[in-house]
Amino acid sequence: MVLTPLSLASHSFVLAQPCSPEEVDKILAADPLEAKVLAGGTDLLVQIRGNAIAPETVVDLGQVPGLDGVVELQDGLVINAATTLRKLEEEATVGTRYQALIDAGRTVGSPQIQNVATLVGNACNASPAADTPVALLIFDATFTIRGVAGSRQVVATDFWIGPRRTCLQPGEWVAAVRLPRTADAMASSYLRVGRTRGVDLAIAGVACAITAGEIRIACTGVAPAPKRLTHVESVFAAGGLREPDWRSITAALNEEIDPITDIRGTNTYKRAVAAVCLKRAYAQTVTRIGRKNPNRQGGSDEL
Amino acid sequence: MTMLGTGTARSGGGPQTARVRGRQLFADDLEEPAGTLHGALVRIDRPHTRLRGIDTSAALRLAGVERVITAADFGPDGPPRFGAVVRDQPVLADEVTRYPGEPVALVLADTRRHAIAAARLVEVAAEDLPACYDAQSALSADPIHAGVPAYPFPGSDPGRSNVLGEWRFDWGDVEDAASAASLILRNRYTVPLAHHFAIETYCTIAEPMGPGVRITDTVQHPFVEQRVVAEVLGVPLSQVHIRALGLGGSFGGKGYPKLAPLAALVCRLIARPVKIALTGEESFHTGQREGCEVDIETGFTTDGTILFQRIDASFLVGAYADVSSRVVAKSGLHACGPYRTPAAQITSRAVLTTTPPTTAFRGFGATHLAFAVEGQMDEAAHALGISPVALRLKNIKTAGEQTALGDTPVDGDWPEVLRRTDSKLGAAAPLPDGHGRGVAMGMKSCAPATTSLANVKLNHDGSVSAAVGTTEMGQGAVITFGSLVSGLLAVPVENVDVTMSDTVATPFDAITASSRSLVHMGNALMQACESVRQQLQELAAELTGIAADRLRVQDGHVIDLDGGSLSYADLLARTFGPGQGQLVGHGRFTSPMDDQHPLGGPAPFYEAVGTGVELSVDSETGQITLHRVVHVTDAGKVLNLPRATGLDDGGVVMALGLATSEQLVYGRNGLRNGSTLDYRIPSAADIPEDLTDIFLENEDGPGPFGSKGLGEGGILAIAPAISEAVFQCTGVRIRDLPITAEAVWMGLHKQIRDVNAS
Amino acid sequence: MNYDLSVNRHRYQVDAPASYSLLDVLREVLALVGTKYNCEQGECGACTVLLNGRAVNSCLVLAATAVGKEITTIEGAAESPFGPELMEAFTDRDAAQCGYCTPGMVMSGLSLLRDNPTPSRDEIRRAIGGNYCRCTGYFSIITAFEQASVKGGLK
Repeated sequence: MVLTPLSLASHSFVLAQPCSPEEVDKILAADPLEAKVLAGGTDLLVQIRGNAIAPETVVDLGQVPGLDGVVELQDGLVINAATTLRKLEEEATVGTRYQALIDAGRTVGSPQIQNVATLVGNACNASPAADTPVALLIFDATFTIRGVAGSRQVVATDFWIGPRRTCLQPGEWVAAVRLPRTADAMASSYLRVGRTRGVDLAIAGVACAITAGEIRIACTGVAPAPKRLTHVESVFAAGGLREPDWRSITAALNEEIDPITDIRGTNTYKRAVAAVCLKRAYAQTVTRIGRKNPNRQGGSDEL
Repeated sequence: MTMLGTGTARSGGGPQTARVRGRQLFADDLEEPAGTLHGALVRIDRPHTRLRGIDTSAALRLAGVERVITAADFGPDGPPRFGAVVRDQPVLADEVTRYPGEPVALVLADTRRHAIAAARLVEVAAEDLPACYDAQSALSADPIHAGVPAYPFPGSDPGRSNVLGEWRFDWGDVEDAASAASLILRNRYTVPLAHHFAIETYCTIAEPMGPGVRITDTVQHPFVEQRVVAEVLGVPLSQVHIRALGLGGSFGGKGYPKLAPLAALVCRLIARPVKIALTGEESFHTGQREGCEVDIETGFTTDGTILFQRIDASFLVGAYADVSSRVVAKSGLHACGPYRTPAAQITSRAVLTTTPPTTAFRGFGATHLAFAVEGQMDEAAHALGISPVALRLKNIKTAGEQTALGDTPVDGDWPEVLRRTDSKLGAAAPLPDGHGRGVAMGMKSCAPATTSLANVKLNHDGSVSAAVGTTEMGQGAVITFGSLVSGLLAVPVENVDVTMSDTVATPFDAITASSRSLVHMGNALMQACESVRQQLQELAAELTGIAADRLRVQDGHVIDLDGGSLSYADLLARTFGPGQGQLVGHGRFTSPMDDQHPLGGPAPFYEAVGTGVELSVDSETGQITLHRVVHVTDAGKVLNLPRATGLDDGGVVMALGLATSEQLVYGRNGLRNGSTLDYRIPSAADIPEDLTDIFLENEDGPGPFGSKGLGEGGILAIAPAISEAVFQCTGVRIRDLPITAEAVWMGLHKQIRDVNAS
Repeated sequence: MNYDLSVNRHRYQVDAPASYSLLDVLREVLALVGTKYNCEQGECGACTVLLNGRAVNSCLVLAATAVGKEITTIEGAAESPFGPELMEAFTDRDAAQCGYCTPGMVMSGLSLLRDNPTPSRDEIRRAIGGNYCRCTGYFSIITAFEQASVKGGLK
């Protein structure tokens, strides 16, 4: 019934600055419903300011040793919770093996946002129009989830369960995201359309990865949560990646997505935009395969 | 006069340097007066309600909270009403609320954070009344004002309808013209509500001053605010001191009083200073541009000559008058734009709706109907097989021609504006594949019947202190006036200080609006400087015995034609004694008044512009890419080229946002996109790839050195130009703003469906 | 909360609620009002400052989490690399009209030029993509960045 001025400062909470992951576990366990994790904070603080949430404790991950940065392993990459999108962009391995993640990170807000926002924070915010989750979906990312009861691994396809909802239980938090090592020849892209060319949330966005005859596709903005489009993938693969049968692929896409009408567009338009993003993400990925595999005649083996 | 028109903006170095170093203080940057209470407004979120009760008890229990003011605090007569034109807006809603975002209570606390935390605890009970967001529903709904106040406008029917006013302008015989026309186009155009989006939000600080108040405000027109505040307080003007610091943008949104009447009343009520600073979201509820629905019928001969215009425009003005009556009346009078129109029937109607009161917006009354009229020109051109520019040239008025109902005749070379726009745009010919071009004209009359006064003081050390009521808000008045005074009195610009926008420190100025300041205040300043110059020459003549007409001023000296010279400082020392004295000059400029004129007086000048665009459309998404924009302004004379260019750049980009993405969307639960996240204005990523500004300088304006006002023009003509260019690319004609990617896509999609269906 | 902040290489003792953003602390506690605000949700860029040399929205950083980091505001811009050049360029190119977005623009510019002393026009547009200006249409600002990058780059 009433509108009041929005102000972060007008809220009261305790800022906890733990110095180890175990301490984070304990603080969250002490107040599982009223404590929120700050891993960058560019979404969390907007939500507190907007009266969407009113946590009693905000748990800053910024002081926890070992949570900032990317660790390269033999079989993949671990991106720790406090790693900013900007830092991710500067990681050479991410740029060569996980291009779609770079593409997506660069569309999250402005440079100022990317200097603060984290990949894990963007994932946990679980916006239905979020950019980076779609990249995590096509790379078969796994979330390392912690709590006092121990830790567990959750695959990306099980992580988001609805608008602003994840599988995290009270007291749990995400310590890292793990990306399996991609094939050397794999290329990927993320493309999205917003209302303006500048900073804006996506109307729709699609990530695409291709390697050795396999295609992976995920979308954002057109379903209750970022979504891997397995049906589209199988229709795509069935028709061959070289000359996609866009009619059947688009039909599959339309079956698999369910956009809502909102201030950024009607559901009809969002469907059209998603289809365009899919085509263009595919085309850009094919081009990137060509660049990655110049000796293989435009990378055609990968298709 | 070498300072002028030489293309240097650094002449105003002082203020510019402060700006880029972050040292320019804005209202919210000032240290608050001791004992200030911070106010947080509680607003209703529903479009239209009957208030049932406001429970402030929980809010009052919070630490730091001093008072919660509601309508009940203003006695049996309820909260006073205020308004610049008509006093219809209660300072806090009483019994009925009429728009989403209308304030119903003011929480006062020791800090802003305490006030806001307490505001969240105020509970309001209210019963919904019908909302009206469009003309049809507003005109058929019960009136949102029950007969009070009576609006003093033609066509107003207090207590019976939601018509705030209806202005009709007719000439010629439209029926006859219609029967002679070989092409009649009937169309409906719509323009949405929009937000000014100055980056600085609103901030008002009121402190007790004797029996009156001193107010520091984000306001363009301190002297209007002084009158309005004096009215609600019931005190003489001398008890109300208003000052504005430089504004962080305004564009009309901070023109007329918004928070000052409430702040002043509460400050008197509690006898303590009160500060109300709004958030970005709250600004959306505070300043808006009118929406408009236009039914237009235009008749042409086969060669494209306009025979008549029949225009019925309903402006959606929101719940209170503010100055929308003036916007709507002016829109109607000059509805036919720069084109010869032998017969016209124009109805320009202000319709009260359950949205925030709308107000002045850059382009005041000249943008809405231009979209319709310019669109008709393009459509007629296509229907008749004539080029859109040729059709316009056939109809455009030339210098000295009569304008609507005997308003000021055409005061510039409008055909040349159009030709220059077209030739510059076409200079990149031929048109690349897939590109479209559009050219449109804009014409705006300056606010009539206003006065500017200026004081100029030559100090005994030879420096100059000028005082003008103009408010600096980015238009560059401080720089332009500083260099004007510097040039006229032959003193270095660093030694000129311009005090602005303060009802005590500066003499009266009607408004800082309508691109009028250069002409009105510029002339007043020239007169004031001329007076000082004459005094200098007369004093020198007395001292030296040389005839005054053989003396002139140069480099801070009075010199005689034989080479003798006397510095100002020496002259004043000899006149007044060492270390004292001052020469004071006063200037005044009043534009003509005429009771019979529908706007109160003839236009002091016209701002005429042409805008040309070249764009392409992504047919799969509907996204527009603007490759080139050409903007031509009939400036008379440019006195500060970098700023004139910057103003037109900014106007074009602002208009680009309004044309392609900006609109305020209201629904059952109020404003749906009242935040920076949801209401996108253009960013650096959205600007045209290339923009060229051209100024026509025929020195035919009424301002200093033949100048006219400029700065609003950038906004006038880009929407119709984009609409035409999109049509050329896609065959899709869009008559509803904004021309979003989705709207273009929908049009293309409909074409595909239509083709498939046939 | 009590903590120390390093702003423009000065050490400040701060006593402020945990919910105070860096913007709140700069403006209300330290009276460094050169940093402006509008949206307070990271969309307008008016409150841009540098945190360890890189542009951030000070409205979206809890002040207490900036402990141990170097904060640079417009008040310290003149002592920053490219600061004098950028400010001079803003004056030369008349890139400040009302001046309200200017501090944020300058800080975004310093962040850009620190990482990329010779940016292209597109890189400049991207760097200030999160800084709204309603006055200039951005052209003069972009040109000012270009001027500063050339002059500063000659050093």
